Amino acid sequence: MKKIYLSFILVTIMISLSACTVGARGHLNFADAKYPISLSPALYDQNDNVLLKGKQLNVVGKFKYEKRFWGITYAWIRMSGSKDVDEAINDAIAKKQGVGLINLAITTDGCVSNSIMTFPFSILPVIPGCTDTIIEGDIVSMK
Amino acid sequence: MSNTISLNEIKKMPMMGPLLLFIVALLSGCSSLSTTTTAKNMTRPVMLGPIQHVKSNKKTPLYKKMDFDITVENSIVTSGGQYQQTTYVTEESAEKIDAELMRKLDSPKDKIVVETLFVKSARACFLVFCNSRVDYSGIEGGIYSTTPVSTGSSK
Repeated sequence: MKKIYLSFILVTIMISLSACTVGARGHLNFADAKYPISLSPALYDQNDNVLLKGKQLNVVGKFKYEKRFWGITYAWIRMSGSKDVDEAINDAIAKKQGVGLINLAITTDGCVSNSIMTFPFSILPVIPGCTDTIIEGDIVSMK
Repeated sequence: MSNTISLNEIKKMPMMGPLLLFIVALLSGCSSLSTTTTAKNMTRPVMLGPIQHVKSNKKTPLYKKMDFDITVENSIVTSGGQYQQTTYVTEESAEKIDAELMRKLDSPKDKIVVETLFVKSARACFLVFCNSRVDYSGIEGGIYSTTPVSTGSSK
């Protein structure tokens, strides 16, 4: 009889643990950026005047970088930094001899592996999850 | 001879049950819910990072007027019991960022500074059934004035 109770408790615990969340979160603050970066098509000059794309700013290249952020414990704990993004932006702007990056856009989508990981391994309390991020923008120079 | 396969015949195939469950689990995560964060419709700079000016490391003293935390979310959450199920779908576009920032700007001289850009994706599942998918991205930062404000704090 004890065995039946024990089995019942074990199955209940396993089913409870299998209801879990898999995913990841990422933070970007561009702390190591050496050039001005804007989410809009505008930047400031030295005197705080607004420079606009097509007027004072000329697009000299496109920037695109794909980054995968990893996380564990229901996406609470972040496992990936973003220093590589800053370095990629600095390198791309320097290569094109630009003065900054405008129209920055971040597109994020959960990895398919989140669902694959969820099904067979959801019994484990710590499952790595991820989010795929595409960082895009226009490299500009002064007209 | 019939070309159709009956359910009983499928059931007799070895490993068909686990395989079907695996396919269901895979398909449940294949639909895309991507979100985009940008401010392409703004005519004012929405600055990120430590460099605020073209060709200059000059730091202008800024005074915070207000904080903002704007999230663009795409999610599908299903809840319910034995007789009824409810599905909540949230679909937001990147224009939400522009609209929220425009609403918060009350002076043409105010500056928008984004301190953190965040992204998150999560799937909540129970055994093989994923009943919740959330993808979101967004920005945290502040609206700053170049002249001291009575209630703000200096950056």
